[in-house]
Amino acid sequence: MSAPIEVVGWRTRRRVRLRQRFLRRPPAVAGLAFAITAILIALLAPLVAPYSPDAQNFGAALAQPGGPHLLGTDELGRDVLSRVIWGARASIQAGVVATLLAMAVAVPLGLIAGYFRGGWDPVIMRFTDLLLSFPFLVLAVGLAAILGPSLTNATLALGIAAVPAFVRVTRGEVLGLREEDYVVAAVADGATDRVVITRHILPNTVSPLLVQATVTIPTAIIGESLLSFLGLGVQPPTPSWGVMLSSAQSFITQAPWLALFPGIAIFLTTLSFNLLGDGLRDVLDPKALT
Amino acid sequence: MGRYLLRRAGASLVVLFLAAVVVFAGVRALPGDPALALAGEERDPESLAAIRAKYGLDEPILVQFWNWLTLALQGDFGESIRTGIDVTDILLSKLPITIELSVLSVLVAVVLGIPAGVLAAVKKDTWIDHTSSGIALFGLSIPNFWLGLMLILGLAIYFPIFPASGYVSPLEDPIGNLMRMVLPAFVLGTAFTAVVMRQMRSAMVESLTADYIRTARSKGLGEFTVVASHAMRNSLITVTTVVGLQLGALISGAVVTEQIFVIPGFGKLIVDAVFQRDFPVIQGAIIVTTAGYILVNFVVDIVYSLLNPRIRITGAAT
Repeated sequence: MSAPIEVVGWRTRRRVRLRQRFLRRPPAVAGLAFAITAILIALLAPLVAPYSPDAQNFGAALAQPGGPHLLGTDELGRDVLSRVIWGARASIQAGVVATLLAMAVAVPLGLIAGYFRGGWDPVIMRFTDLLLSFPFLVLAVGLAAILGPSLTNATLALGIAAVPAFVRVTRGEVLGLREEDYVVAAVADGATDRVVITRHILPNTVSPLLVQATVTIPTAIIGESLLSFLGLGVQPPTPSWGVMLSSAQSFITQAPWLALFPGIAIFLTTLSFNLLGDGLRDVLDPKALT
Repeated sequence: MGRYLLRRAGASLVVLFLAAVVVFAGVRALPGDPALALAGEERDPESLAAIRAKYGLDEPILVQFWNWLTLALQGDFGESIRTGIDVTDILLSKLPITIELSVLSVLVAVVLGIPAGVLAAVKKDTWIDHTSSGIALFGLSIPNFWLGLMLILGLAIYFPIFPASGYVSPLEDPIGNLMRMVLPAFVLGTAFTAVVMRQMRSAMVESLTADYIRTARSKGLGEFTVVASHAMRNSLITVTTVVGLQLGALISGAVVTEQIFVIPGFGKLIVDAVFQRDFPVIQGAIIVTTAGYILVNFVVDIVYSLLNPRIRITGAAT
């Protein structure tokens, strides 16, 4: 009767130990803190932004940073700080949704290909090869041309583009795990596929998948701003970091701050997710736990 | 090995054919009637019908696909709707520019990324490791098009060391060509360098703790031999795959880098063609990009199997 209590105790201890290991990494904690802040700013944009992102004030067009406009104004006299704050919405939404979309499709596929192999493996791998053969921007350009440029279509393109990497990571990991002694032993012991997958395979794919996710979110955030920069994502006047950088190009000598601040916003957001991802990888690495 | 090669080649051809189907269908799914776009001001039914007949747009879709495919296999992608220039000629004139840019940026990534990764792994948890890992993280987090804008602002406008944009052929002016390629290649190579460095570091850290490394050390081999010939060889396997996976990102990066630095390469061609609805150019450019990418991945797979005999054996057995 003591066995279940023992299991719970072990899990709790492991969670506490993981939390302690995470908290001992200042860069990871800083990354987490900034990522949460960025998400909160995006959610609370109407409350946090000092001005409306679309409010034009031609009298104060191209005002330098400082004074009533902390980060200056653009060519239409719109407050850059407010637009940077509102721009967080598009980027973070695209980053998170695209990653979840990719995982929902790719993890089951990678699992099937890697665990059952057989006839499915080549089919799934050719499918990912096909997706991989279209560089993400070509894919996004195509989707934007067919479905029209919008944040949703940009997110869709980013999600599709992230599928092959997730399939490959899952499959590669599962292929390796299948040959591990404890999996071979479990199979020899008569464990069903379901038990082997849920108890031995899936838990061990969590850390590589998490690492892949933390790579994908910032990549997708950069991807969204890139597509918006090219005119294939968020459409002006909706504020987005990419749109802001695109219009800043024309004023690069006159008003360099227009190009500076949206770029810093993208940089800090992606950096925070990357720091968080690195920290999580170190903490979750099963080899480091022993 | 021969069977494995054949199997991989066959698979690549299947993917290429599927890609051709997707590209053809995708271009046909673009909104707007290309005949209308071609007609310009003259929109009477007769001239529209004449245009459809001229470009084969009035044929059944499968016939159109077959015609396009057979011609494409002979290197004939038709004419640009906008300029009337042969698409193959356009592609051939743009391709070397993008290849040069890509090769230079891969060079940046390999020359900077691999030594930095090895050094960080060997000096794990020292300031060298922290510094190079930190720089890699910065490289990974900076959006390359923004980095491009900032470099133009800093090194072309405020301190005019490099030209801000444009392209000259290396055959006409090798120095001018290199000067114009430094910033774009650096911009395109930054994230790539970071990825190579990080992969190399983590692969090396793992290799260096492996049993065979302990054996090599206990045999009395010098540290350099252990690192350079034993640990690195295995780590390069991982990095090769990563380089292969990154090539798509490189092509995407080339598109935006070419836009920012106004380099008349493949990437700029694709984006311009989409905005101009120039179907033959879009089709030709995407299929050539895709074919190139599939070819590179095929080569990466072969190199991977040469480096890692286990893959080759299991691959041949199934």
